[in-house]
Amino acid sequence: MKFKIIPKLFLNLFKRPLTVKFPAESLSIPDGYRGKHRFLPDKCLGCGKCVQVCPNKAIEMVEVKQEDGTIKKQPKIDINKCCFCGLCENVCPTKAIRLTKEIPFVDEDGNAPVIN
Amino acid sequence: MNKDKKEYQEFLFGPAHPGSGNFSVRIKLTGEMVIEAKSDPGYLHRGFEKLMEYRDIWQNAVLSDRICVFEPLAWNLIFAEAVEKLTDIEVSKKAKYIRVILVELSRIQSHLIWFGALSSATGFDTGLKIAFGYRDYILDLFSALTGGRIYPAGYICPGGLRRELPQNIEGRILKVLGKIEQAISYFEEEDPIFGVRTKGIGILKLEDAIRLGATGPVLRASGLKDDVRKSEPYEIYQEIDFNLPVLKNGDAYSRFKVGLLEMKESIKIIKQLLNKIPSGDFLNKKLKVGTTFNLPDKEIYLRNEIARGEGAVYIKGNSGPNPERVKIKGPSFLHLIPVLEFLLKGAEVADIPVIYWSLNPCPADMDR
Amino acid sequence: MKDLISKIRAKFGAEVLRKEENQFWIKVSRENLLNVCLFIKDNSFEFFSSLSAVDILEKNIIELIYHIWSKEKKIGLNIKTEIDRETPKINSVSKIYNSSQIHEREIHELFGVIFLGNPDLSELFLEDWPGPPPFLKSFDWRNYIREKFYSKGNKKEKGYFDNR
Repeated sequence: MKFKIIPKLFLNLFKRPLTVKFPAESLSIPDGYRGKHRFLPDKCLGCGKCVQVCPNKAIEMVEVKQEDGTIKKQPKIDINKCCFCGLCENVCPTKAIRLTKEIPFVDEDGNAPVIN
Repeated sequence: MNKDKKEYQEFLFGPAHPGSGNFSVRIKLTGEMVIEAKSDPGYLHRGFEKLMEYRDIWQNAVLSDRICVFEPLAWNLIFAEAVEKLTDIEVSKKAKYIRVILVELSRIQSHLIWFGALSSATGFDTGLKIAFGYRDYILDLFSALTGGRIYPAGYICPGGLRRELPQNIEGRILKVLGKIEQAISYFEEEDPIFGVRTKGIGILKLEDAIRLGATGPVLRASGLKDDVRKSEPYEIYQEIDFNLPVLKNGDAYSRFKVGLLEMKESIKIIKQLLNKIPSGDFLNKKLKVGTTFNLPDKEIYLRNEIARGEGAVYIKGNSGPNPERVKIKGPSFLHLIPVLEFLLKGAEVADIPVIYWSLNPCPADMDR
Repeated sequence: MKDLISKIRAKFGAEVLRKEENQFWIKVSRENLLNVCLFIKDNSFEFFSSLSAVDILEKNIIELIYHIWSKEKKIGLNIKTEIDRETPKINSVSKIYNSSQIHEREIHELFGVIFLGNPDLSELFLEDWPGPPPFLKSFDWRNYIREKFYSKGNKKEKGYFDNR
């Protein structure tokens, strides 16, 4: 008979559990996490490098009318196809696309949240 | 009863995810004994070898970590090394040290999944929860280093690494290693019921293992001392001091024991390297992440030791940005079709999950 | 090791392409392949690692490469052969190296090469596939998928119709 288990049972009473009581407490997300995109339209040049580098063809250039009447080309990202690799951030010459720490949510119908 | 004609029933040890992963075996039974087993692969066939022909080098580096979900960093390393040897790119010593630390951490994390699944196959559910609970500490560490818990999106890329290390990461790695040693001490205690269910089951002798093409821990548990890290060292393995555990019986219990001893050796390797990381750049200065370069008109064949066995890649270029042909060989291709069909003949029904999970299978490796 | 290579060159007429750190690349003709494999298996080359195939349209050939390693001498030998693309047939080496049988089954399904003497060449990954072998360069898989599965009217699938 194995009685070695009884002191172990006793010591286990004083240990912290391995899990975390979500949502009362939660783990912190570290810096450098690849989350949702943030786009700054003033810095964008319209060069189109982000469209060429995306492995899943999730970025598309659309024409957007500015306030002073001119038409400028800007990227439009479809979150349902994106794999959050970060290559568009590395390739942009003016750092207009960045990945933040926010966790993205996707939904089923055709109007997926699209960043413009 | 008519003893000349044996009637058999046909079953499907099916492709449900908690039972056997994405892989099924057709089994013919009489009573409780298996007469014949035939594997049925192909549920996860995504056509990687064709997908890689239409993408350039940086897009392929991001794609190469989806080959197998249990160890994406190891496949990143094989692809990066093959491209570096084709185009003669130099990698700094600092990048090599960090690459080996990450690959050994990924090997520990993959073995913990193996133990969790093997315990759950024998009905021992607490083992599953202990293994997956302690694996979470390693995944949090990956999230701080590479930006994602499971998929690092090409962190080990041709030329070095994709980004710089954060500050004070060595202390954090040492704390995580302390917790993993605690988890190993849980698995080391001899439980009599687990021993009865795995000792003497699924015996693979040495001649059969060599003839059917087994590699990795399956071959080392049958008696042959062989490892790609020792016979053909890559990265900086020639400067590190580590042993290879070898056992002789070849049953499911010896494979489990070899995996435990290998985890201890990996912890020893990481501790040797942590204090000595040199300074330097993390990526070759001539390259920039995202801008492509051409592959020359040459070919290469490269092998590495991943957690499940021997993985290999064959790349041929054609002086353009996309490769002409990429061929990937995973270790589970040999373990799951010839070795499993050989071992299941004459086994009993209650032993089928134990034999299957003790071979450390990865259906994604087999189908790619 | 060098005298082994010179023996292979003298007996079977092989051509040495190049030598890297610990790998040799040689090229033999299709008829001599079985004899070369029997010869090197007695000289400690016992581990069959993999089998790759490349489809070259301009020269009208399919090139097969056998990767075999010796665990004693820690050296690898890569053997290349060429077969005709119209009638792709070659003798199987599964009687010599038992673990090559499953590799030949995969290449038969994906490239259409017939290996004479292989005990089991049934289908492996694809089920009830009606078309030509899918990995050949003459089969345009992108057009096949566009005609069968995607439609231009769908908003999400519109992007797959431009040629990139």
